[in-house]
Amino acid sequence: MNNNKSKHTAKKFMSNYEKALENPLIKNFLEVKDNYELVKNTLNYPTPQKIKEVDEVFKNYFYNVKMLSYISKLIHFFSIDYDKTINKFQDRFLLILDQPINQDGESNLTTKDIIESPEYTSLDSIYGSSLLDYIQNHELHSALLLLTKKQLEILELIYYKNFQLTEIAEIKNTTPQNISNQHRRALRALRNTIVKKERNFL
Amino acid sequence: MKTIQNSELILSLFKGKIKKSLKNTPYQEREDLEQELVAKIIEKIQEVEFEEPQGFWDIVLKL
Repeated sequence: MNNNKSKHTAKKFMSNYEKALENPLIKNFLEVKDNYELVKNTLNYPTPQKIKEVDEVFKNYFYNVKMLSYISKLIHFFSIDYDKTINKFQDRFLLILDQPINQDGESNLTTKDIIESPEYTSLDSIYGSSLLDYIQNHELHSALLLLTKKQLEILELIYYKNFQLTEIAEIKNTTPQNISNQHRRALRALRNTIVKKERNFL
Repeated sequence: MKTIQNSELILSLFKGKIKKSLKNTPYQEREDLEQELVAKIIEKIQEVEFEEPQGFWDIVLKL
């Protein structure tokens, strides 16, 4: 009896405050399972202590959201400012090799550009010759290793060799649609792996 | 309050965003910018203070 009645309270609350639940902050807060259970429990069996606990947990959550959004903005604007400063500095104090050859400033050719390289070395011999050799990001690299061999091959042909879908289809003896599907699936798998990893942090 | 004060955790969360923000900068400057950014973030994490956030019930009842 008691249980029935209490279930009713939570439901009633949910429908009474539907608008509040649509608020992104509240919504995201309740999407975390522990928080949801806590709020539900408090609504069903309210005690001053539990009500206070919900407030505490929520304030904590709110604070973290603020912090993360602050840092995110900080990164964005700081990098822009930094870039501006660097550009200003470089315009004022040009290195000799970076100075344009004709003083009228019409041509972009700089002294640096006309220096001949002593010997030609192919970049391929310095770097590797597969897509994986070009990935700097560790997470992306390990995510790529989780793909099937076929998916990796297709990504390599698209992003490293710059082939068209039709060309790849010819090489693989299949249809462009099939290649496109596999490509999409590969990207989704990559995304899932990386997003899952990030989720685990929070 | 148990809040995110852990710089390492925050930096690891924002690793991707930091890398992305480097793309606008000439490549000679990227390492410098990355270092500056990380230093700035660590500095701000310790420094910044937000006003006391509203409680759950306050917000829900107001909406």
